Amino acid sequence: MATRLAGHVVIAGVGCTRFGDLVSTPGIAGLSLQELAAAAAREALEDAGMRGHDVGALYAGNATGQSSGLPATHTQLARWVGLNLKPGVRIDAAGSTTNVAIVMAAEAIASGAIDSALVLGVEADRSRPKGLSPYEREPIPPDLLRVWTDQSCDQAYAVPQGHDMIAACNGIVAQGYMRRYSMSAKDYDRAMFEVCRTRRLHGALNPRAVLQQRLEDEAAEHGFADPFDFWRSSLNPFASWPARRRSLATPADGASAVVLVRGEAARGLPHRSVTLRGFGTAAADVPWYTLDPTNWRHDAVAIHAAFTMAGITGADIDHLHTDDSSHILGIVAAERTGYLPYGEGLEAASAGRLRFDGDKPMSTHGGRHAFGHASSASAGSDTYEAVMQIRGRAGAAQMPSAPGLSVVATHGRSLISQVLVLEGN
Amino acid sequence: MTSIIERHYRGLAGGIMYAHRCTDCYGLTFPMTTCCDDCGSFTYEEVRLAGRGVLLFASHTTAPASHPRFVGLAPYVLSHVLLDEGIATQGVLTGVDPTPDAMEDLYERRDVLVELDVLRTADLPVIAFRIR
Ligand SMILES: [Zn+2]
Repeated sequence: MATRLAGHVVIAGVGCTRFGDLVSTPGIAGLSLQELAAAAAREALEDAGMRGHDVGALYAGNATGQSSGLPATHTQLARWVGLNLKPGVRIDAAGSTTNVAIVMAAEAIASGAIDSALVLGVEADRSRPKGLSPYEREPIPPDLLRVWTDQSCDQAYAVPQGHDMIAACNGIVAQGYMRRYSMSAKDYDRAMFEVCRTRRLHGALNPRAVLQQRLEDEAAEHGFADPFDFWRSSLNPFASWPARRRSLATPADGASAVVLVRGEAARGLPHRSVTLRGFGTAAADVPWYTLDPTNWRHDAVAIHAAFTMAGITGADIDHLHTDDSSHILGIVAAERTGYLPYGEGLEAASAGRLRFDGDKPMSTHGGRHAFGHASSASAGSDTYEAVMQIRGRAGAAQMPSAPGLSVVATHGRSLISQVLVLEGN
Repeated sequence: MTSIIERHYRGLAGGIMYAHRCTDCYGLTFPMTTCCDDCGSFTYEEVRLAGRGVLLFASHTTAPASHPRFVGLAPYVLSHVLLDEGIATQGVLTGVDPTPDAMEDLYERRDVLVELDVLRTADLPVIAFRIR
């Protein structure tokens, strides 16, 4: 039997900060993580026309306590977002955190226990507290970030024995894709350049993205007339053959927030509300695939559950976000949803069809590479973008025709596959 | 008491890979946990794996290492292997340079057979494979 919510739950407000670095990015440099979280929460609450005191519960997400200093995220942040004395919980589903929290909040609202909820994700994947200072921050050494984020992955066997996320999610998946569709390494490289070019275009159009420079402009800055020569240069080495560095996520500090309310409470909003029409979740640990590295069973389970609940197929999707912290994995997931035919995702990218103004727009805020990856806030950044696209308020990267139905599919290591089906009212 | 995890690493120290065979559905669970991957049963017996398989894919990692244990080794090659018993697993591949060219050569080859080659790190024997 398909899962159903007992009531109608809508997204009434969304918020998202600039993704960047609390040490050096203009606009957020110097802020504490508490203030960054509050900025996202305030935007979402004001968007919904509510104050924290009107909200029933707080679902506060954070994945990496070592960099946030917020291991008790809910109790430490409630005062900063106007939800003092309200019930809540800290939630960690890594890169799926905010969207898993949206589902949990929706279930609580549909049950009748609460009428509304604030979902909040805040993450520092670039900076950490400097010494014992409660407000000064410093860059995270690159080797430490992976040790911390790997803590969401099998600590009995895989991590102690050399598990490497970049190889497992990029190089090996890429080779699986090439083999499955008889694609040459040369053609693969060219297509991945096109995927990155599209994501960087979207980032350049988004004032909240961590990378706001088009790939072509970055190439020119380094003296390359042909951006593909730059792509193939030593400035963009293989991180895990055949996957290059610019096919990977860019770590960021960031926060995102969503206000959910019972359906009838959404009347009177100054903007189009968005219904949570379906969801699906599936979890597993490494290895994520068996014979075929492009066959992620948890994605199949989560997509099937969400689409069955929503009564949709891939043909109904107008706008899609997948976890593209590995660009090839984002394409694999898009094909799994049915949004793109199997084996045609890279061709679609090369033809510009995945651009915001193409016929199969994907990751229109720039994705994990250009918008950035702030683990527990990343899924919420996708949901923010989906809601803004549906409202027709996504700025320079607004789709020419606002989508009626958007699907957001995220991954949280290791591995929480989370799919939301969002529909404009 | 010896934990299941300790059994795994003690086995590797002696060059042996252990798995659990479910006494309800006969499914194999590797690496070993407290219950069956296939049916969730908590009853099992310990069995030895052959330590041989076929290389499905391999790619190189980057430096710095993803874990302090591998600081001296990174970059290295991570292999995706199908064991003779039908279990897919991943581990370091020894004897191959962690370079894009070497990865492409390996990708072009088919039916590369591998066997267990335990890697002795400073504090732990870990699963690795070598081409046979
Ligand atoms: Zn069993």
